[in-house]
Amino acid sequence: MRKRLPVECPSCGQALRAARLRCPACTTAVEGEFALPLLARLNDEDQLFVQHLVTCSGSLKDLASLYGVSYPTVRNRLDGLIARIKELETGNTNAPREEDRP
Amino acid sequence: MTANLTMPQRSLWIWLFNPFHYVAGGAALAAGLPIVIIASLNGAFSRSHFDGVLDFHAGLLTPLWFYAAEGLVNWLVMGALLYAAGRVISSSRFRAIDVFGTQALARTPTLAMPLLAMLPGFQEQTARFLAMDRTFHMADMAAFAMAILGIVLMVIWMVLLMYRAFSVSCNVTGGKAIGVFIAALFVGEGLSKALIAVLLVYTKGL
Repeated sequence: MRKRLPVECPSCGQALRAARLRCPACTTAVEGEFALPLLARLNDEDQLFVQHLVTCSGSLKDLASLYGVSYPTVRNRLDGLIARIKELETGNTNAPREEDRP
Repeated sequence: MTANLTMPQRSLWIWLFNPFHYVAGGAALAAGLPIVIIASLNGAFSRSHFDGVLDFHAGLLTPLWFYAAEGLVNWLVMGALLYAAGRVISSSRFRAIDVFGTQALARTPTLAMPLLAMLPGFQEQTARFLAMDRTFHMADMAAFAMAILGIVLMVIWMVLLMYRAFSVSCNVTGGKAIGVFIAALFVGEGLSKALIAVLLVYTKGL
């Protein structure tokens, strides 16, 4: 069963950060506080859309054929995704940087 | 605005009321333009004219090309107005072929209107109204009423499709999109009627 990476705190809704990463081969563990990559913070459907966009070499026409929908439908979806990414980027620039912490 | 791309199945409901989710651009134009012309030419059989973006009236006998010209004027006027409106209110980049193609396809319900106007009772009753004949024929009145009801339903369906076409092709939704669309309908109605009147004067002059 494929598990989905949770990106938002189920308690307060804030963006989650990775605190511990572990190597499955040699069991080495690294602890700290790592912000999730922006693309990982998108929902499953958006991530799949980005993946398909790349594999279609950025061609919206090919992407529309892949999904079986019209070009404007795919275009509108991309615009929504751009808006979402900009929201996430804005959220990143407002967050306190490591060196600014007391 | 995020469009849902992962539809579990192609719904008939979507095909009837928002086919532009699946069809736009050149494909919509290729399907819609013949529909515009065929629906307009069908009016010749019932002597009815698409004499405005939303209008459909029994009228004069005119040359065949005039019927087709009416349909093309209505389509072009709405396409141009909605393209201009989209340029003003939309924050997305969009293509003119999507606007014009979807507007052509949105006129699909007009195919049924001349056919309804060809009902025998409708023709007879229309002739009585035009001659101000007060003779009452129940069957003809019933046929007339049913045809009018059918035509009104087709107009409502067409307007809904025209709005959906605008919304999808220009990526606009909400109150602003609806307000702009209604304004374009009013302006389009006036403009198309004016252009068709000019065309009629030219026809009579020939």
